[in-house]
Amino acid sequence: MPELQGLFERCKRSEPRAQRELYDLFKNRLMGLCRRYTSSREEAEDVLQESFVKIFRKIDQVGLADKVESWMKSVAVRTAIDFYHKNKRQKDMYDPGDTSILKVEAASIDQVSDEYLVMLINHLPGKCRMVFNLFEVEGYSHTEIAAMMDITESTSRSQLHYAKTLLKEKLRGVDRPNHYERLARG
Amino acid sequence: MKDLHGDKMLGSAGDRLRRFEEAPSEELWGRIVGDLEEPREVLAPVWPLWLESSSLGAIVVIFLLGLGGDVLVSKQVSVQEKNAIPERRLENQANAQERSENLTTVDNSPEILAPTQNFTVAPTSDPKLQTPGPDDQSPIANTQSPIPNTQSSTSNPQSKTDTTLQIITDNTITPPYKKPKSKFQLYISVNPSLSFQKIIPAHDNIIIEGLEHRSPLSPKRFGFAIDAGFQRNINKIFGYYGGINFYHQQQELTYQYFDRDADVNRIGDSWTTGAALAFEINRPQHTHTFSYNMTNIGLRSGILVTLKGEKLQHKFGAGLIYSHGLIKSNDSYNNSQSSYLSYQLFYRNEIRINERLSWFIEPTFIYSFVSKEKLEEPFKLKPYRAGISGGVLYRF
Repeated sequence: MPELQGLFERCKRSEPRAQRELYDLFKNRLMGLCRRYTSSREEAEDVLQESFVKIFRKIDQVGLADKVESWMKSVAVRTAIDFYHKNKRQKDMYDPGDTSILKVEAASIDQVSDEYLVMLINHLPGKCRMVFNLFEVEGYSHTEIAAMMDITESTSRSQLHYAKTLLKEKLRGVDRPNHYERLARG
Repeated sequence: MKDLHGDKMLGSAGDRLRRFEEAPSEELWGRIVGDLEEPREVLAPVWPLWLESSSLGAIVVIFLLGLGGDVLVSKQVSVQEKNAIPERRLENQANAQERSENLTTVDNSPEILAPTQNFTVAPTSDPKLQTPGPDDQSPIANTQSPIPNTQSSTSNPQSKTDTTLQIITDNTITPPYKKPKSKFQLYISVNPSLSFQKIIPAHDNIIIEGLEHRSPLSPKRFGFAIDAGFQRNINKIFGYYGGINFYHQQQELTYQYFDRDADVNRIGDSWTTGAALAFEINRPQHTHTFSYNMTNIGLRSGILVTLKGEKLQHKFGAGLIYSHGLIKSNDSYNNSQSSYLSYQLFYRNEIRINERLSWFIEPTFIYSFVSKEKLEEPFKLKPYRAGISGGVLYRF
């Protein structure tokens, strides 16, 4: 913790070496977060890039070093939400595309790898992917999600339900693109 | 009805996703540094808003009154710098969209499908979920199991188990590292101006009453300059410029003067009339007109200080111009034997049109503090001029 405190203070002074150290310290964690909120690794890197730029430019707004990690995560989440809003015309369309790679039959999601789990999340339509992450992973309430995503609470609930339905279908090995399309349009 | 089986299937997905980590590509740090090196969106305002508005208003009025020409005042983009998206960011989004399209295409292509199947196989622990055999026609036949790696949840994009991502990256996306834009720019500008002169008497033989009165905005004062050269930003605030300067004006100057040698007549004679002694002094007044045509070419150089803004930048500039005349004349003023050293002050509004181009408008004041003129008149002149430049910047 003292090391983080020192690093934090040096980052506040915009020292390039400290910025690189902070980046190296958190890049994997934040990249993992960004991967969940985006549909591809490349989009995740774009969000991560923007997130770190914001972090380095606004780190002086953070008071305590022990708050840095949670603050950095919240910056990345909000950047991902902004990214979603700017690209949502494409992201809300369900793209059954490469569904064969998602064919798997598992009794539980615990039986698949983390990478595969993230891939399942990546293939969710944009809005329900965002809601699923915000609710199930970050622990936000539907009220908070509604405010962040500029949607209603009921939409947030239905999108979460939809996300879970799609994930379960995938885990059961159901390949019903028409069904997904209908859900996405609904 | 609650789907208990479904909920059980999802299990600890939330916790696992929360812990999920993945290494970004090596080049990402370079892109972040590139973004950080770009100027901040808003510098500290040093120019009060009311002064800015009034100066812009004054510029427009002077331009309209002085030239009487058609002035195109384009709608300028409002400065919403606080929420503005850096251009690199926009580019990234555009690239992301493009990549997204490419990704869809690639995902559906058989060449890419085959190696991506390493995520498609069921866990081997369950006999119902056995990996298909080699004789299976499915493209998933030769793939590895996606059994979770409980040792570490960090995914290495270079590893064999992440072939999908690697292949997609290799075939479609690989965002190239964008080198920060050059700070070197070329400019060209046109500067219509109104010229004035300060008179410095050269000898005492005559008394100069002054130049013929002209309105400060008279068209007879009109001249124009064309400037071209380069400018370069040293850092976020300071920069410098250098280039050539061409100036032309066609003027005739008229002045009135009195001879110092006056005719003195005695109009009173105290010896004969007893009246007070009185004299009448007559100084003949003359008017003289001479041509003050000027075509100068020279060099200019100076510094630029960015006051604020990013897309619409406010800059202050100061520099020197050395110019030499080109017009040979047998008149009292010979431009070809004249040279001037002037200082220049300007206030520039520079608007970025796109990544490469910007245009600017700048009220300018130029004063020739050293004037070596071949002027056969009883005085010397120090010309100065004020005008408004408009120009274009091209960024490399």
